[in-house]
Amino acid sequence: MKIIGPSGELEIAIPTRIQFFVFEDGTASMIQDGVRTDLHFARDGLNVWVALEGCTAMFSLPSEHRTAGKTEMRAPMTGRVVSIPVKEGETVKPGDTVAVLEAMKMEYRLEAEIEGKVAQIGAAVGDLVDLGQLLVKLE
Amino acid sequence: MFPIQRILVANRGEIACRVFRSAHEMGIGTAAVYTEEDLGSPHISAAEVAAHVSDYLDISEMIRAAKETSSDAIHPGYGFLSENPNFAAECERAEIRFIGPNAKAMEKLGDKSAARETAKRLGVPIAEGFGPFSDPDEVEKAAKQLGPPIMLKAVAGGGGKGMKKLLSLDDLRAQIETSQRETSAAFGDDRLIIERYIEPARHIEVQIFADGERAIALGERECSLQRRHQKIIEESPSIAVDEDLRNRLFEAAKKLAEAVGYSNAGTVEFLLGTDGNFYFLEVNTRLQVEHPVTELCTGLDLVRMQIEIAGGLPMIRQDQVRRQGHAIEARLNAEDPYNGFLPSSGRVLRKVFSNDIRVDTALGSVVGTKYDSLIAKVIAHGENREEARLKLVNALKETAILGIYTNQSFLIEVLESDFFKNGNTFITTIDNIQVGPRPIPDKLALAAALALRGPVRQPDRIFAELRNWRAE
Repeated sequence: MKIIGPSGELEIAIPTRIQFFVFEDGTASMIQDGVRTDLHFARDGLNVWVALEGCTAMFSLPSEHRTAGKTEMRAPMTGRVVSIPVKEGETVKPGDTVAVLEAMKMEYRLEAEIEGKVAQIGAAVGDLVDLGQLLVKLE
Repeated sequence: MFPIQRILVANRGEIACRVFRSAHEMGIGTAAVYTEEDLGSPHISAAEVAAHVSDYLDISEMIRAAKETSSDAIHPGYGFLSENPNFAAECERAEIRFIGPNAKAMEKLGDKSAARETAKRLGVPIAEGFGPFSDPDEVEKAAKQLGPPIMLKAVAGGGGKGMKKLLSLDDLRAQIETSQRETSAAFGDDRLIIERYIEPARHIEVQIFADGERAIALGERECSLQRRHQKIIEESPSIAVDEDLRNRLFEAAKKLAEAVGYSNAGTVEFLLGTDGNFYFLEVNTRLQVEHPVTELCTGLDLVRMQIEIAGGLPMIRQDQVRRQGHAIEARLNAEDPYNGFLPSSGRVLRKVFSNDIRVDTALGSVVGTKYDSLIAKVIAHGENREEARLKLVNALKETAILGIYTNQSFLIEVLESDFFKNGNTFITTIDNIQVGPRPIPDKLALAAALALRGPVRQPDRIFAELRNWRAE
């Protein structure tokens, strides 16, 4: 079956002889050919989080898949907009800063990956933006 | 009766909880402060009483909170107001004991440029530099005069806020402005100094305590492994420090403290070049994030020592300090190494820490975006470095934080790397690492697929019991 992991789509072949149990304490066990693997598990809406031996990731089913084009500069994290040094109609080159966000007392610059004209600005300085919110749209 | 009845911690998170723990053990009362964003945070319930403040940086609010909670002492923790001499002075004025150095000593050593001057006068080696400047034009001029590579540093505070390494002068103005914005947001002070950047170098710091006259050194810590000037792994002792160098570092650190009549806990930071020369960097006039490393090696409770000194009790002597074994601390941060180390915030669905080693944490049910990304410190102690390293790796593998991304697997990767095993740790090491793809073990993806496919089978009672029996 196809699932979406943190780095994109994955094709998982599910063995026929496998059992999966979830316990009330938030652990889960997977049993295959008599070998048991214990892991940590949590459900968050349509997503699941699993952790095993220091690796943790969130997975979902493909219907939720979002495509992030290079023309749509979206907030890579939840944070506050410090500055948007571009105006609508302005042309930007790769490497130009199009937005500066701040979270946890550190600043992050969002740089254009392509050359393009600013078609839309989706947030104002001082706004609190959510992960994935459109900041600047290029064309 | 001990002269302190109740301590208010003018801070949040794990350090507030850490101070409360020592206070409880000493039979001293505790008070927390909290902002709107921190409602429901674990540090509030860890104290006997709590008061609301609008901001952890507001001095008058902190004094009011101390009065409201009948606290006769304030512990500032680290960050926020901890290195603000006005805060120490205001506490004094309000007849509240400040658990830290007196305002005058803090000013002399905490101000990076004043400390540089003192070091120079005492013959402690320093790196070439200029400042402080508030005017970005002056910063720019001095930067051009010194030439790259240079380091921009905030006069106030620490934690990498406002710090910028410049290998060239391109983009100088933008870097200065970012640096000033970060430092004023974090400490309410936009002054910068400029220093010659020394590379490759290790970050070695000496934990000192002082009683206003005499200073003692508890040991050194190596904190070379930093990402964007934020320490991520700290250890003691340093593999690069032999007994002769250790004595010279201790003497330099003690000399600085004694010269300004320093009291309470402090950390004197040095750069150690590959040629064995060291340069004084700065003094942190407070307890540091990584203090547990020294606690595990010395068996001392540094917060208790701070409280005792603030309460006027005698400090231990240098010959009473014993160091044993090796300790390593890893900082678990809410940031995603495989997505440019961007901060990760959200609801914490589940958290599991190792029961076998020390974990200092105050992780609640939500990680917000307002405060820094540290969620836990995991600290191992062993007879030697390798034993401590293995214990720490095992503890990190047992750790599970679900709902947000953390740097957990990156920390494991670093601790298992050849450069770490061999002690080839320099300030630039982490920034030079090419972070590989996110490790997704096959079994992890398979479990995720099984969970998503649903419906998930609930185990029957007999299986659940059998599993528990097997697990023991």
